[in-house]
Amino acid sequence: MDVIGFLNGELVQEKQAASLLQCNQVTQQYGQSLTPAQARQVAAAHQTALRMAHRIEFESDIPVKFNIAFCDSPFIEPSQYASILSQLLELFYYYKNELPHTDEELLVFMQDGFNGVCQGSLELLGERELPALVGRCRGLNDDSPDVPEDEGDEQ
Amino acid sequence: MNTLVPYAKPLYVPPVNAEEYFPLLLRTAGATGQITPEQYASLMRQMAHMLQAAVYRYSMGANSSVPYEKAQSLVLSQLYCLGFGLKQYPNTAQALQAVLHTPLHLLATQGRQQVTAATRSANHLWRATKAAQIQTPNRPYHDTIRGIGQFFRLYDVVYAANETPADIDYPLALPRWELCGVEYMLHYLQAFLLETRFLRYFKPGLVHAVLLRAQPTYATLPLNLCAPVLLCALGCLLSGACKPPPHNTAASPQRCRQSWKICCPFCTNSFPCKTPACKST
Repeated sequence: MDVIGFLNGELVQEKQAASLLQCNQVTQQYGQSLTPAQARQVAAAHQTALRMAHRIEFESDIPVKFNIAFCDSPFIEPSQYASILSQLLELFYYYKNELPHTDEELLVFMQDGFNGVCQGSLELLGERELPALVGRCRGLNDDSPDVPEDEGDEQ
Repeated sequence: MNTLVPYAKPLYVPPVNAEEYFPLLLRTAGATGQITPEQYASLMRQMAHMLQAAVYRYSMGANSSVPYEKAQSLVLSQLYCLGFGLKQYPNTAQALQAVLHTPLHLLATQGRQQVTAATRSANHLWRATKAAQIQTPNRPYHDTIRGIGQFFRLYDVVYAANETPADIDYPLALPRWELCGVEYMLHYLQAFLLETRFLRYFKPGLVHAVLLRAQPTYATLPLNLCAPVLLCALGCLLSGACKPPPHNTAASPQRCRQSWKICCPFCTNSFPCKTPACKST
C-alpha cells in the first residue's frame, strides 16, 4: 500500500507556491519578493530536497518559515533570493537527518549562522557550521586535529 | 413491499498476518470489482490523514517531517491495528463492508483496542506458562519463558504494533512464522502452553531420558521438547507398549495420566524401569 507515494503526488507544490506568494506582503518590506515562477521554483526545490533526504512531510509550512526568516538578511541579493532559499531548504532537510533538533531550532541555528559568522556564505554554513553542530551533538570535539599528534612526532 | 438486502459476494483472502490483511483485502476486492477506484482513493486519503496524525503525535508537533523509514513503520503499525480489528469480523465480506462504510480512523482505534486486549490475554497466557513450566535442563526453554516477559514491557501498540520485541529461542513443533506482533505472541504462547501441559503428563526423568536419546546435547540446543516425546508416546501407544487412555472424552488430565501407563523409552517395561541393565536406571 503506497500511502507515502500517494501523499507526495498530491498537488503539494501548487499549494506551497501559493502560500509563498502570500508572504510577499511581508517580505516586500525588506526588499525581497518572489514571482509566481520563483515561488514554484522554491516549492519544487522543497519537494526535491525532501526526496533527496528521504523524508516525508505533511502540510508543510517550512518554505514559508524560511521565506519569513531570511527575507531580512542583509546578505541576500533580491535576484538570488529564490535560489538561496532553495539551497537553504536543501541544507535544512539534509541536516534534519543528522541532527536531533526540532524544525524551529534548526531554522534559528541556520538563520543565526547565515547572518552571523558565515556572513551570507552558504558554503560556510553547509560545510563548517552545520557539520560542527553535528559533531557537537555526537559528542565529538570539533577542535581536535584530524591527524593525531603522535604521527608528527615520529618524523 | 420486500426490501432487497444487498448480497455480499464471498471474498477469499488467504490467511495472512494482521499487517498484510487490510492491503490484501483491498487488492482482492479491487480485483473482483467490489471496490471502485474512487473508494480506493478515498481510503488512501484517509490512510494519509491517519499517518499525518501519527507523525504529529510521534514528533509531538515539533517536526513537520520524518524519514521515510519512520513513516513506513508508522504506516505498518496502523495497518497492523486495522488488519487485527478486521480479522475479528466473521467473514471478509463483512470486513470489507466495514471498511467501506466506517471511517478508517475509527476502525484503527477499534483495532488498537483489540490489540491491547490481546496483549492482556497474552500476558495471562505467559503467566500460566510460567506457572506450568516443566523441570528440564534445556536452557532455551527457560530463557524463552523469561525473555517473553520483556515483550509486555517493550510492546508499543501505537507506533510499533507490528513488531515482536522478545527474545524467543525455543522453537515450537508447529511454528507460524508469517505472524507478527501480538498475534504471533498469542499463537506462540498458546502453542507453548499446550506443549508444556503435554510434557507435564510425563515425569521429568522420563522426558529427560527421551530427549537425551534424541539429542545428547539437548540441554543447550534450541530444540523442540514436545515433538520427540509425542513421537515416543505415539509409538508406545501404537506398538501396544502402553495402555491407551479410556475412550472417554470427558476424561480429566489426572484420570488420563493415571490410566495411561507410561513405558520406559529404553525398554518396553513400565516406567520407572526396574531392569538393572536399562540406561534409564
